[in-house]
Amino acid sequence: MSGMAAVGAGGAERPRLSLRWREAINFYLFLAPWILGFLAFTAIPIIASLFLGFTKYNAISPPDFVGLKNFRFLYDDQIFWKSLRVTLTYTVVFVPLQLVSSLLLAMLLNLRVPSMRTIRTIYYLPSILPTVVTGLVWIWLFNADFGLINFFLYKAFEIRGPNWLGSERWVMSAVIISGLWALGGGVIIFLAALQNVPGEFYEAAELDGANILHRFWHVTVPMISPVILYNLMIAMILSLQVFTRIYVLTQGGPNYASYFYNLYVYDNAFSYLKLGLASAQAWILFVLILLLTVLALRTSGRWVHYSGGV
Amino acid sequence: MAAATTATGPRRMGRRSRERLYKAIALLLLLPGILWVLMPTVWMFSAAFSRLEQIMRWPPDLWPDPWVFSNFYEGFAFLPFGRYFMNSTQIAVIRVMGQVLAASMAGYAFARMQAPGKNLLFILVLSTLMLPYTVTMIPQYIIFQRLGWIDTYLPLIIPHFDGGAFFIFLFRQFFRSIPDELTEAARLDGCSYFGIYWRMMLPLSLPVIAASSILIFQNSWQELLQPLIFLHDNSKYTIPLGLARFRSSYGSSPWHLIMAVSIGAALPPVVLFFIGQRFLLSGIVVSDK
Repeated sequence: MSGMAAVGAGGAERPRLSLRWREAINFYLFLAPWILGFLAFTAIPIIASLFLGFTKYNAISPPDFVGLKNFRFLYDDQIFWKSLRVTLTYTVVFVPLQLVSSLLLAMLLNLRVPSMRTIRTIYYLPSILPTVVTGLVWIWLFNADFGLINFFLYKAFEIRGPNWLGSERWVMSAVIISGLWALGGGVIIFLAALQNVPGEFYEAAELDGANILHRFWHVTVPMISPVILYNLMIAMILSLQVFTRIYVLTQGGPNYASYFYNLYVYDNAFSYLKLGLASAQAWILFVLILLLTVLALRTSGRWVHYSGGV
Repeated sequence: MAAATTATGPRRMGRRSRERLYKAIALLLLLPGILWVLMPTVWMFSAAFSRLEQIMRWPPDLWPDPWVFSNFYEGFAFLPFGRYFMNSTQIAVIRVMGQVLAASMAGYAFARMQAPGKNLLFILVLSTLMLPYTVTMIPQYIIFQRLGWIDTYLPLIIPHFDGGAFFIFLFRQFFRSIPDELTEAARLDGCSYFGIYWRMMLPLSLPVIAASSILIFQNSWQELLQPLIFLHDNSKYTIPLGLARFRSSYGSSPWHLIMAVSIGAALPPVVLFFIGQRFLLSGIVVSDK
C-alpha cells in the first residue's frame, strides 16, 4: 500500500520536478557567457593579483614571494601617499558636487518645455564625446595665455587667471571643473527615475498645500532614493579610478599634484614593470572601495526607500 | 492649521501660472548653461578650421580667418588616423554585438527563470561593479601574453563578452516589465526558453538593445587604458590611443590638426547617439513595476 502510494506520488511529482530541472538547466545555459567570462577574466585574475601582491614580479623571471614587503614599501613611499591624497581629495569634493548638479540638471530637463529634447541633447553632448578628445580640448581652454577660461575671467572680472594645468595649486580645480562639465551618465539615470515617479503623487502633495521644496524633499527624493544611492556609489567608485582624463590633461603633474592613484598603479605596472607592487596597490584600492561601498549601503537604510522588491 | 487650509485656496487658483513661472526659471537657468556646455565643442570646431597661429592668439578669436579645410586632410594623413579609425570601428562593432547578446541572455535568465543559486549569482554580478579594473588588469595582461593575444584586438573584445553588470541589470529590469501572460501562453504551447527569448523577448526589447548598444559603443570607442596596455604595434592603435600618443610625441606642434582629427573621432558616437536617442530614456528602466 505505502509503496504504491509512494510510486503514485512520485509519478505525479516527476514531471513537475523535471520541469523545474529544465528551467534551472536553461538558466545556467543562458548565464553561461557571463559565468565563463567571469571565471576567466575576473575571478581567476582577482585571486592571481592577490597572490602577486605578495611577490616581486617583473613579467620576465617567475614571481618571487616576498611576504608583506610590497605593502611595507608603499607605507614608506611618499608618492603613494600623495597619489592617495590626490584621489581622495578629488573624490570628496567632486562626488557631492556631481551628484547634486546631476540631480538638479535632471529635474530641469524633466520639465515639459518646448524644445526640451534639443536642450537635453545639448546637455548630454559632453558625455558622448570621447574623453581623450575632450581632454585635449580642455588643455587649450585652460591654457594660461590663450585659453578661453582665462579670457572670460579677464573680460568679466578683470582677473588674470592662473596657469591652471601648470600650477600645483590650481590643477585640482581644473580637473574638477572639467569633470563637472561632462555630467551625462548620471543625469540620464536620474531622468529615467524622475519619469517613473507617478504624477498623482505630486498632485496629491500639491492638494495638501506642499510647495515646490516640500514636493522635492517629500516626494521626489524618497521616490528616487534607490537611484540616488546607485549614482552615489557609482560616482564614488569611478572617481577613485580616474585615469583617462588625467593621462591626457596633465599626466599627473605638475610635481605629482594630479598624480591620481591609478596613474601610479599603471606606471608601476607597465612603465617600471613592478607588477607585484602594482598588484598590492590595486588591492589596497579595492579594499578601500569595498569599505566605502559597505559604509554607503549600511547608512542607506535610513534614507533609501524601496517601493517594490529590487 | 486653519490658516494653512485657507492658504491652499488661492494657491491652487494660481497653479497654472505658478507652473509657468517654474518653467521660465528653469529655462533661465538652462540657457546660459548651454553656452558653458557648448564652449569646448565650439573651440574644437574653431581650432579645426584655423591656422595654428590663430589658436595662439590673445585675445582669442573663435572665427577662423582664413578658413582652413585642409586641416582635415592633413590631420588624417599625418599619422595613419584613417587606419586607427577603422581599427576602433572594428573593435566597437564586434564588442557591441557580443556584449549585447550576452547581457540580454543573462538579463533574461535573471528576469524570467528560477534556479538554485540565482540570487547569489545576481549579487555576484552586481558586486563586480565595485571591482577596480586595475585589480584584474595585471593578471589579464599575463594571461593574454601567454595566449599570444598582445597586439591583437581580442583583449579589448573577449572579456566584455560576459555582458557586463550594468547591461545585464538593464536587460533584467526591462524583461521584468514585460507582462508574464505573454510568455506563459507561449510556454503552455510548448515553446522553449530559447524560442521565447529569441522570438518574443528580443524583438520587444528594441529600446534596451538600442540604449545599451549606444552606451557600449561609446565605452569601447573612448577606452584608453586597455589599448594602452595591450596594443604596442603602431598600426594597431585605436583612435584614443593614437590621439594620446600624438599629444605626447608631438608636444606643442600641430594642434589644429589634432582638433580636426578629434572632430572625426567624435563623429561616430555622436551620429549613433542621434540615431538612437529616442530609445535612450525608454530603454533604461530603473523602477520595479
